[in-house]
Amino acid sequence: MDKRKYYGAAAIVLVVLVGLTAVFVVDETQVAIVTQFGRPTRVVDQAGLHWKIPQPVQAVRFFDKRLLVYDPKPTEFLTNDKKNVVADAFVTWRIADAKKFLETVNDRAGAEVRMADIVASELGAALGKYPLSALISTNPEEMKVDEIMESVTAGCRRTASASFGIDIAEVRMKRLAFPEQNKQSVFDRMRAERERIAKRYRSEGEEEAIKIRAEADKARQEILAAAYEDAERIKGEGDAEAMKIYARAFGADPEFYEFVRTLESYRKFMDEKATVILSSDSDLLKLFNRKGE
Amino acid sequence: MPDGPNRGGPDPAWEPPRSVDDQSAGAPTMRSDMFAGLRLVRSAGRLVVAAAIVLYLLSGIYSVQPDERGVVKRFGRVVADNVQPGIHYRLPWPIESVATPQVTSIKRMSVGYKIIDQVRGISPEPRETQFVSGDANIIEVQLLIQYVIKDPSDFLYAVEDPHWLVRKVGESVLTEKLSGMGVDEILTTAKLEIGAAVKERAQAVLDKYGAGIEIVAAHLQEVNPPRDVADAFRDVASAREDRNRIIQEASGYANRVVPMARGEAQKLITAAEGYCSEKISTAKGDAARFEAMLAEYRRARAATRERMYLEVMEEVLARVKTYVFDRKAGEGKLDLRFVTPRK
Repeated sequence: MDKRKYYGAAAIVLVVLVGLTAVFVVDETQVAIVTQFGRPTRVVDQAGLHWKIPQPVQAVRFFDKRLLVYDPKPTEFLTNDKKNVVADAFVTWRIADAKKFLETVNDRAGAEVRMADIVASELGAALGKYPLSALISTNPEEMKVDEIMESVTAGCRRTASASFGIDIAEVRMKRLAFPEQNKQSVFDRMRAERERIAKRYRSEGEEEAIKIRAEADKARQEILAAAYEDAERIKGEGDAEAMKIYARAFGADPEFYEFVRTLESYRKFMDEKATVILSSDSDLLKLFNRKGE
Repeated sequence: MPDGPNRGGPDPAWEPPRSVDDQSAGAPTMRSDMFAGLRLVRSAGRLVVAAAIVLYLLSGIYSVQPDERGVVKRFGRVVADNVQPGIHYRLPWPIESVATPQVTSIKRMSVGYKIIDQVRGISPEPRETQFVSGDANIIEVQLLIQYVIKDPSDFLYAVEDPHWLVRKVGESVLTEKLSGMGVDEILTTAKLEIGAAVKERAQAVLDKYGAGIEIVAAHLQEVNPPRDVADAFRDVASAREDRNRIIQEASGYANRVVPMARGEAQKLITAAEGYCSEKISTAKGDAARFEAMLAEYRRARAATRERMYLEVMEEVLARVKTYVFDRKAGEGKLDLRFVTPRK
């Protein structure tokens, strides 16, 4: 009786254990593939509790169904105009066909190896068709980054989807750089450009300063010339007015004016240094001679 | 457990707390003590089981903090994706599980440097921080993106590692923006514009991916030329200063010269006005004097005339050296040799 009880308990445990392998949980982030003796039979992409035939008949493989990010190493490419550029892109992708994915690349590491090749070749082909100015340019019309990356994405998506069950959401350009060995020449060019700009600033300053000084000098001369003109006119007016006054006053008796003015002149020009020689019969001395008359 | 053997004890009151050690130690004596202990063991075992079940059921209680939202999964499938803060219940493991991401706290992600390095004061590596500008210059840029979780369920389950995806997307849109701009624009005026553009474009990309993230802000923290050419960039800045200084000096000259010229002009005009009024006043004075004299003269012409003449002669001849010669005696030539100049 005891032995039968033990067998029964053992049977129950076995059933429970086997039963447990008949249940599996699929997480929100996962997709599951049920394999029968290693061969994929069905794909479960609904999250929740699911059933299968217990081990060892059927097993489950889980895959991530979230949007995944693959970031390959930066790679140097040659543009259409033979310029070297290091492009660093990243890929957002998801497992679209888990069965094909399992059959072709087996796991994520395998997928990334394949994607590295695909992305590198698509990027190389696309960048080789465009000049560097399609990637970096201050002219928005030359910029073709969106166009380039769209064609890269489309190319990668075609290959990855058909061959590996991978859906490539997008290939994005993450960083552009110059190759390490070109950096010094880039720096030299930058330095030369800066020196040119500095020189331009300084000579612009000189130019502007000379203009300002010349304007100031011109304004000064104009002001002084205008003032001279005004001053002379004012003086002239004064002279004219004075002449008018003299003319009016002296015109009353020109003969007397002449007399007065002559006397005035005598008083002025005959100073201490002058010598006068008078004739005895001059007007002044006429009385001297009266005795003799 | 309920059937678990026990050697029993004299005091049933403290029997249930006796633990596994007692049970295993008591196993060899099971048969002999079976009758004595069986009933006690059974009731104690039931109590343990009941307690375990209660505890198990209670383990489904969880709390959501004010800055969190809860997402409940039943066998891996999301059944509630926005549980509000408070105390809640879910079915215990392994049936249901809960995640409580912080949705209101702002998370930070750096581009062009590592936040941890910044905290430690380590400057980023060139290849981490160097970008290329539209005019093929190399420029060092550091950007900080701040974001919050917009949709907890998407944030947790739609994208692998959304936190790092923010950096990659931010970096790609920053690269795109910088490669369309000139280095001077980037260095001087466009910092705000770049931040706004990165925020907008990165948000669009993240929305396309369904990452459940909302970018709050993107700030350019550092924008510098690389160390190798920093001095050349500084010289441009000082050249710009020089230009302003030279212009300032010239303006200073202009501001001095022009007012001075105006002053001088005023002086000229004032002097001319002085001259003018002097002339007129002199003329008026002279005229007045003459008119006064004329009035006197008209009263007695000959006498006045004679008097004036003599007055002047008197004054003049008192000053000058005077020689008189007799016309009658020396008719003809006059010898001037004796006229010597005054010392």
